[in-house]
Amino acid sequence: MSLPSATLVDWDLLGEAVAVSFAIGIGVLVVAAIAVVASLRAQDERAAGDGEGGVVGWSAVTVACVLAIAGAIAAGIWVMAQ
Amino acid sequence: MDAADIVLALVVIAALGFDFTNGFHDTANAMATTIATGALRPKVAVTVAAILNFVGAFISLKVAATVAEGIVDAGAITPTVVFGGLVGAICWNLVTWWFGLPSSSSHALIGGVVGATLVAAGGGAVEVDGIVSKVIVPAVASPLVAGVVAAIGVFLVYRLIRGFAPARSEREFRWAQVASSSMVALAHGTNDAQKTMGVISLALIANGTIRGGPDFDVPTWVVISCASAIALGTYTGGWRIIKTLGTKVVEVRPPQGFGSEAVAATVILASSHVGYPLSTTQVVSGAVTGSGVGRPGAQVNWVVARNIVAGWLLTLPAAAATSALAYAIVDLFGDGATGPVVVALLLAAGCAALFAANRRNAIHPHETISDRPAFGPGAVSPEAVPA
Repeated sequence: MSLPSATLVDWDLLGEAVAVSFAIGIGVLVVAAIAVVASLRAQDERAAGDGEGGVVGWSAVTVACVLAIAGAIAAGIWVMAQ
Repeated sequence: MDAADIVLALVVIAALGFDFTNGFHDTANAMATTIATGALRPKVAVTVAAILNFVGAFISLKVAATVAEGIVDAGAITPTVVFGGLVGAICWNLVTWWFGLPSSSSHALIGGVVGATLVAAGGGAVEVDGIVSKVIVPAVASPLVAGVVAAIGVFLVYRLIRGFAPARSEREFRWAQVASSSMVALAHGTNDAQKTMGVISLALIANGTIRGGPDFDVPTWVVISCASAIALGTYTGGWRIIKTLGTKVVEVRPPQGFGSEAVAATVILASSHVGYPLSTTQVVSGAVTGSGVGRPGAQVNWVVARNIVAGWLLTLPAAAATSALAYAIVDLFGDGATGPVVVALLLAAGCAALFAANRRNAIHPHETISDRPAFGPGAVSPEAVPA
């Protein structure tokens, strides 16, 4: 049975995996939370009848966040296909 | 049909059997939190997961014939060694399923191949470097990375939505939760069905049935049968493990369920993209636990978490010991097909006994829904959930 060598942990690769996981993982969650917050704000503004500007603005933020998440899903499927 | 063909047929059957256990063992990874919150009904959730596992198996055919590469000497791998390894992996998957423990099917397979190789070719054929770098280090890194990312991410999500009534914000997360769980199911089909395709291809090449080399193609029947086996296993629903992961580690609410599955999917795919694949089961278990740490007021059941970790620690040695025993029994009967046939019959009898015992002591799908689901019949308002 061969014994483990000192270089059996590729720290660079592990560090990169951790860094990318942190950045994308937390990024996706924050973007999703912003989408929910913007959607709820748009609903509140609509219910309060505070004018179309606010509703359109918050809805645009929601759509942008949803598109960003859709992009992340597409990127995820692309990674799977590699 | 000579002895080699019979052994090959048994390897294919055992590989598909392993693929099936892999499916029902790992359904929980994708759908436990979605079922727990009531975002999808249990049968609907496992159906969605089964379809996505099936589709996932076709997304990439970069075959992991390399499941044991760098772990054992390639020259030591024979169809009989692969068969012994599969027997050990199936047995460990069934034991951990019985106890409701989410454990890595890939690590069970690696442990199985190591155990059979130890008996067949001795310790010189086992690469300890490979075991440490491909199994032990990722096993430590997976839950830690996923847990910390999920804890921070879920904490931030709850900070951002704190100004709204929980009942409203939870409703918004329902379909996000379904989407994130679906990504985990798709990734699982892509990663895990390939491992079985690799094992079968390896046996076919070793038997001379197909040719290896750089232009090697996985036979279509192998792709379809592996995709079907993992999908069927997933559809069967490993309710015991779903119950553990969805309801026993921590009470899951929709933003938290979304957070844990989204983090799991991104950690699995991001690490896979940079070339450092982590165990799906350990990533999801870590993310679910981390999401409990991140949700204000949630209480993680550390006893259950500790039992899960104990299962992980035992996976490699237990699968190795079982496959070593299986290979030793095969060896008693010499080089023919008698040994593998005897072991296959023993395994089939053991599986039948276990499934009969499960019928008397079954976990039913409705038991995998939280006592206080967010959606569906019996939904409980988040305000009624004690902090």
